[in-house]
Amino acid sequence: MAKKKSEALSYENAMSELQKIISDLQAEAIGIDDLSEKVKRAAELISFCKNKLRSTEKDINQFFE
Amino acid sequence: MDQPTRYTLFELNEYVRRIMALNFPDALWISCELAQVNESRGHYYLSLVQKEEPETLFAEDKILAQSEAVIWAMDYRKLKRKLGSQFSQVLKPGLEILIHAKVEFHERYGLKLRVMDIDPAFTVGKLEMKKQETLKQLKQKGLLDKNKELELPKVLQNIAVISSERAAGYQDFHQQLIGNPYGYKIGFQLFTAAMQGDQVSREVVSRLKMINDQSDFFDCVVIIRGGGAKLDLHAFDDAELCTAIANCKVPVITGIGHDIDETIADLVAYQALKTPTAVAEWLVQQNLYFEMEVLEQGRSIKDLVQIILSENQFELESLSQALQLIAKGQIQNQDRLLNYIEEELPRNARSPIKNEDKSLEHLEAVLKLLNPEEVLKRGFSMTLKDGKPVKEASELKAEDVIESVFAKGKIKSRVIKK
Repeated sequence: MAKKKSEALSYENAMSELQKIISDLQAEAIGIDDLSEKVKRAAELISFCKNKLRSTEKDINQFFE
Repeated sequence: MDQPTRYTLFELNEYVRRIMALNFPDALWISCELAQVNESRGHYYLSLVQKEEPETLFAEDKILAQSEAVIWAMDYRKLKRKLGSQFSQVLKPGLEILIHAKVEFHERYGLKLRVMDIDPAFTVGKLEMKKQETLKQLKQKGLLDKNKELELPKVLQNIAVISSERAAGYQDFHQQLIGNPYGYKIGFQLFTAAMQGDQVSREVVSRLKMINDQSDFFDCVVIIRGGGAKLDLHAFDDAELCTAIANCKVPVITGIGHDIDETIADLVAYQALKTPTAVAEWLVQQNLYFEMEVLEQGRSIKDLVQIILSENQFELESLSQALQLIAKGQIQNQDRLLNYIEEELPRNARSPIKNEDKSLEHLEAVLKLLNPEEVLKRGFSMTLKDGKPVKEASELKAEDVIESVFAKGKIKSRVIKK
């Protein structure tokens, strides 16, 4: 499910989803049952965003070569 | 009635001859204008005239006197040896000459001047005087610079040429123009006119008139003539010819084949050059100047474009740098944010677990307190009747058998009294 979702994922959406998870975590609004899944999702989103940043950086460098 | 004395024609003419011979024993210097020259078997027959001084340049000349003269072949050869090429130059119709001649009268052929000598210096002087006079008049009429004030087209493509096809100079001109090293295609049209003799002025004026009628088509007029005797040039001092050049609607370029400015035609022309070849070179040069100008313009456009391009290039460069900085800055910010989130995530994720842990521990403790076994261990015992806990003494009556459960072991007992 996560994979399917990340295909059409934009950085902005990923970031807002990530921030939602963090704020839910901080507000202790996530039950233990969902915790693992949510944290896993958060890690995936972080990785997705980082990749997006690296590829954007690479693109930018190529534009100015 | 007396018969008047009769003479035969011969007697009369013989008488006249004697009178003439007596009165003109020696040759005389006579100035006159040469109207016509005819050669026959080495003898030169001249028609001499004297015209009234014209009041204006173009007035018809009125003939005051006319006589026939001859240069016998023998005398001609002597003069030719003495004067060289100058001699034949002077013997041109229209020239003023000073002859040393014997006045002779022949019974059959009448009065004839026998030319013994000619003074070419007189002719040259006369021509020079006439030239100065013409020059003065042209100057007074403001014609000297009139043609020069015309605007010469920058590119010369259609040229009217006044010359004689047979003139050596025309061939030079033709070749020089056709074979120009830059490959310019310069069109020209020949207007044939006599370039020597007494027809020069009349013919050149008429050709100039024809060219003037097509003045929109022609870029300039070229009058060329290759070499020739210096005295022949006087035709190009002619007032009428020079006036026509001055009034021509297109610029006139002369290449009359001599040093520049020797004729008035050169002075009134837009541009005077020494030879027909020089004229051709000059025409080509004008086109070359234009081409160079165009190339120069092209170069400065290129330079200008280069400057504009490098200015913009510089601006783009700085924009590009700014863009990179901003874009990378944004990425850095996001990086920092992500790193922060990444660091915080485990802590945030563990905190609910810790909380749950604490709750469970508490529950466990509570549970522990509530466990009956634990109570029994502290010395309490539990009473059961029929396997069920007894909570109130009223539930029992005497003789009931009850079971007491201890931390370790159990007993059965009977209720003795209630």
